[in-house]
Amino acid sequence: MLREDRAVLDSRRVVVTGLGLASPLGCDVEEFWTNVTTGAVATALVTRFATDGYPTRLAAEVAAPGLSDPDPDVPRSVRYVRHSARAALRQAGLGQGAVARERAGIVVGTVMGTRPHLEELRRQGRPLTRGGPWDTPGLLADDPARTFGLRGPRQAVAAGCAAGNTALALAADEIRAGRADVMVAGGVDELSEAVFQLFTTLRALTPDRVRPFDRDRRGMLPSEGAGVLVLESLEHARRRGAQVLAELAGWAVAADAHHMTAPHPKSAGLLHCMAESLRGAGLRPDEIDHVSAHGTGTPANDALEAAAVAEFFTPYGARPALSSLKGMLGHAQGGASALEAIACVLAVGRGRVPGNPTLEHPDDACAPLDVVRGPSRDLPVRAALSNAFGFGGNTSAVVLTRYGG
Amino acid sequence: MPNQSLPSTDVVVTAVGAVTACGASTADLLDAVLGGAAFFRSAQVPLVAAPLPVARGEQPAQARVFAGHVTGDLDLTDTVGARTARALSRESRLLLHALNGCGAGPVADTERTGVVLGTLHAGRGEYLAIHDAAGGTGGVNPVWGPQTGYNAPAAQLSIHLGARGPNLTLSSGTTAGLDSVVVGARQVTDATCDTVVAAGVDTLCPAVLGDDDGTAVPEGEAAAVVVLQNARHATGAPLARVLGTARTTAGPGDDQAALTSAADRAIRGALAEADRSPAEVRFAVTASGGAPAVRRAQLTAITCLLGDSVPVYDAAASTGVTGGADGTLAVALAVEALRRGEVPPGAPEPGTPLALCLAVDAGGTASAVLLGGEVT
Repeated sequence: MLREDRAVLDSRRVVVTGLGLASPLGCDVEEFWTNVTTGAVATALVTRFATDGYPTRLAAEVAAPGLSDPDPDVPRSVRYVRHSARAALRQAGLGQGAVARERAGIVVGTVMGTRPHLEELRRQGRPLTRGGPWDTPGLLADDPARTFGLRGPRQAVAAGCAAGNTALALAADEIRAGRADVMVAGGVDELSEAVFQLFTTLRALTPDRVRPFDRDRRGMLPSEGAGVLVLESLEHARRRGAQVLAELAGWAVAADAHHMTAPHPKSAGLLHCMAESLRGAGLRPDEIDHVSAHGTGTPANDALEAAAVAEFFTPYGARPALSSLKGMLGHAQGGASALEAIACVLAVGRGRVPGNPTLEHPDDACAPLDVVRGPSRDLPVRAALSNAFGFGGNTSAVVLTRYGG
Repeated sequence: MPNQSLPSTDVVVTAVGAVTACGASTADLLDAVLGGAAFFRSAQVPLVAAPLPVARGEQPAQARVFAGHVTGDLDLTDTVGARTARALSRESRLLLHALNGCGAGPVADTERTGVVLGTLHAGRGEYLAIHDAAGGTGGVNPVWGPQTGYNAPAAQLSIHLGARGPNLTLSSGTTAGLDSVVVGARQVTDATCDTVVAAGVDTLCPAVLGDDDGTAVPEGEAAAVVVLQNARHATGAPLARVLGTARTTAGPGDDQAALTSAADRAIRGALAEADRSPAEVRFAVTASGGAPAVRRAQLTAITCLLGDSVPVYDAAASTGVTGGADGTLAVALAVEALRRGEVPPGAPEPGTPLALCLAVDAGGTASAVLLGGEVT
């Protein structure tokens, strides 16, 4: 292959060179990885707001001085993204001058944007003014862009609880189209009483633990956090000698176009996304070793997702190791799939997949699947698929593969 | 039957619709803008649209707001059925009315049709209503729940259209509505979709304190829809062509200069992608979010690049500042002007009327779309 041809191909390949996060299981990647592979469970009594009147009083919160403290001026979601982006850029070695800043951009996915900040303002007796940070979702991208001098493509994108993966997909599109060399991408949301109330009304909250794929699962628990990945064209990463953590080999977004809250009964969007993301990656289903499920722990979600994953993989004789982080983390909404993508990068790089530590009795619907028991499993992972979907029928999937040069 | 004579990457606009304080069509909007009419008044705004009765009897907040209000019947029973119509948010109602107004409806090629929406406030009223009722002692109206997220109106569009392609909601400031057209056009160009419904929407809120100093442009509510299609696979007659798009971000420097630079580069980028010259642009339509610094930056960039004789229109003077709808309204307005032949005189080359749409956000981003009429 001519050197020029390889450079062109490498400019279209997207790799991961940095990770950063703020989560209820740690605000440092190593701490997070240790926790999600040793069965730590973050869901506990809510401290952020009074829950005396609620039948379920559990959620998962980020607890880190400076990040999660009340601050009337800077929403927690903005601080979570800023912290995560800083860590990811540091790991990528993208300090000042390491990249032409016009070629470095940011995409942040979210469900509620900075809106939950209005609750903090109300708790402090402050007015809701027009144009305030509580009503400016673009801040989630603007703030880190200004802080870190990212002057390339910039976007805040909402796609329900598929927002994290959707942000990765949009960012990867910018690189593949040649509009950027580096993209900071991920998702975020902060814990919100309105969301807690909403899911209470919908009777979607479990009274104890989140048990994805368990026959006795009783629902989900809200959570919060941010996950940020530094994406980069392989050509750019090679040129500056960056360490490649994994390749973002495929991605897809779609809509169920079915119902505002109920998933498509035949998982149309999810099946489409799994197929398209693998097609983009040039992989067959039997080349996927690990599936990071959306796995909220609600009866309806897990049954449909298990059936869709089985339908997709079984014809190829494939039984990838399946797990959901939400049994440990709760559901971080816009941050969820970004955190799950980070776990996939780590699984690919370290040969270990997180388990389902809250799983006791696997649902019969999971019989065709290899649902990981216990806190983790040592397993060489060539490629991992991460699914996400949300209210409104937004669906997305990303494929992360081991980088072999 | 695909039209093989057209390049596969050509993007055409086959329908536009708008619901604003000026009326329920793009024709109403253009008449108002050309006539310099404004439609601001004080009226009651409820926190949520048509809430269902609930046991606890929460009374959603209302307040009088001086703004550009959409008036008229927003019932959608005939379009989506009575049950669904009752549960729709006001944003979704406006959007579906805009969609109906341009004759668009459920699509045949579901997998190849996407939705991209710009909004800055979608779900705000529902979120506030739920938080008002929070405390766990009683329920809230469950129909508000799925409407609280920014993605809800776009999701409702996909559901109504049966569109299973990508569904994206963009919320990056004043450029969001024009970004929906930029991103949608790129999805057609890169063959992700054959059709993208690009849209923008925002509504008013009674619970937000304004910064009314007597000089700001009032807020408004509006929805706009622009149907983008691959020219080869277009199912409707082209009203205009998307010739070039660009998005830029401000570099370092003082705010005014940085904003002007971002606007300048966005215009140049759209012209370069279209391989057109500034002299071919007959008029410009802007979205500024009502920010004076942004307005100055836009006018400076347009004047420097296109000359001072190019008319510049801004719908906000008639509709109010409509958040995520501003940029999409700009495109709908430009297409309507091109379609109707309301092109200002003095074009250097007869038969090549081009329109520039430009949105700049005070946060430092700029987007531009270059449109051509049927004969380009």
